[in-house]
Amino acid sequence: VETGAEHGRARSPAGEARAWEEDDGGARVERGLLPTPRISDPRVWVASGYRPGRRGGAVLGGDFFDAIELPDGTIRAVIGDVSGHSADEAALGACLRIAWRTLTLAGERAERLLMVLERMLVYERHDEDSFATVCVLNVSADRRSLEMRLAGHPLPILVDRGGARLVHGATRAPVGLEARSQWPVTRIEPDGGWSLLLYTDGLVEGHVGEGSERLGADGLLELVRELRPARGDEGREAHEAFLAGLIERVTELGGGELSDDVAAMWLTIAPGS
Amino acid sequence: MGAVIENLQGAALRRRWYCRAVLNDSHPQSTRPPDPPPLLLELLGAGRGCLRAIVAGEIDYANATTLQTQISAACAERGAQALVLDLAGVEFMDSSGLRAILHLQRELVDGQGGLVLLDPTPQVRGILTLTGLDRQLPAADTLEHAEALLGGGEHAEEGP
Repeated sequence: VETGAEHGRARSPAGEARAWEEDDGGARVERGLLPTPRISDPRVWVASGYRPGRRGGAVLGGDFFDAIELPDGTIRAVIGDVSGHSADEAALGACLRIAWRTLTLAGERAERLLMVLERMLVYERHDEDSFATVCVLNVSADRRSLEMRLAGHPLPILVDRGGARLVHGATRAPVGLEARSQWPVTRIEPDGGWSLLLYTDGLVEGHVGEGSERLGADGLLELVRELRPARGDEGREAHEAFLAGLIERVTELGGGELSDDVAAMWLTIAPGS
Repeated sequence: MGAVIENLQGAALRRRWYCRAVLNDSHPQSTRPPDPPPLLLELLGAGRGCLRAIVAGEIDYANATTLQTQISAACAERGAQALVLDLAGVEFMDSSGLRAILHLQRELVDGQGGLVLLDPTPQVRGILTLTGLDRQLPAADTLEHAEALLGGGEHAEEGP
């Protein structure tokens, strides 16, 4: 049961704006949300990108991501999106990201990690309405298999020898809404070397053209097929340029700006490895 | 806050009252050419203690909170414990809209009532499925079905 105490902490809109204008508060929170992935395996490339929506850069959304390689060679990655668009949600996103990294480094298994993450959100949120969509991944040490757990998050896109496709997996409700619900596990075994695109909903909810049409996951999939690095041009730089180009293209389709924030991560197992 | 409500009293049939609002969305000034269409809200009485809110347009971060506040106030004003949220005219909804709906659901359930979504469009059904919230937010294809779900108790569980 939530008490009324956290509602008393809400700041006035004016106070909130001031807090963000002073000495790049936004930049500091942004570092909390969007860290440098810690992967030492040279065969694994992680490109990441973030673009604020048209609400302007003044207030961040609660989009966050992270990726870490553990001593046993496995890789853990997370992407998430806290609902709402105030400084409180951005701070909550940073809190969840750091909780995820702490628990991952401490060697917690996925089930327990996600249970604690949910409890963190419920304890730390200022607004009882806050929830977060989350996707977490475990990549095996041989890089040949992945485990995905989804909580209401947009479906990742996998590219392997078989082409590009949406990774359909069972989902539970977003974190913060169903404290006791299980996290269904989806196992993925890509064919050969692979790349995976993790993203937040801002990347698929942008307008396409003048009408009410949105890009959607299928539209994003088409763009990935069109823009992904060609075979023979698969260096690390090509993959970084791909992600930047993809976000740029989505932005152009939306008429030059995105209505919502976008965070995306493009994880690639180097070809031939 | 920018919401215009006209009370059109004495409308027909079983409607004890009728009102219609245009929620002026608060999209910041933008150079982007197409402005989003306004979000329309109509409120109708639908049986005892039940409110039917007909929403049309696009629900996003710019208007979701206003929508939630308007419907919440209308429920309180009319003493409605049950809400049929008619989404047949909603072409797009994002996670802000989900957040608003979940808020309304919690308020109603706290008051021993409940909420049913009526005839959500494919895009809205898509986001409900994607987020796994189709299990938490009951939906109905017809008004009769929605009222039956609400009449059967506050936790109508099965979908259409």
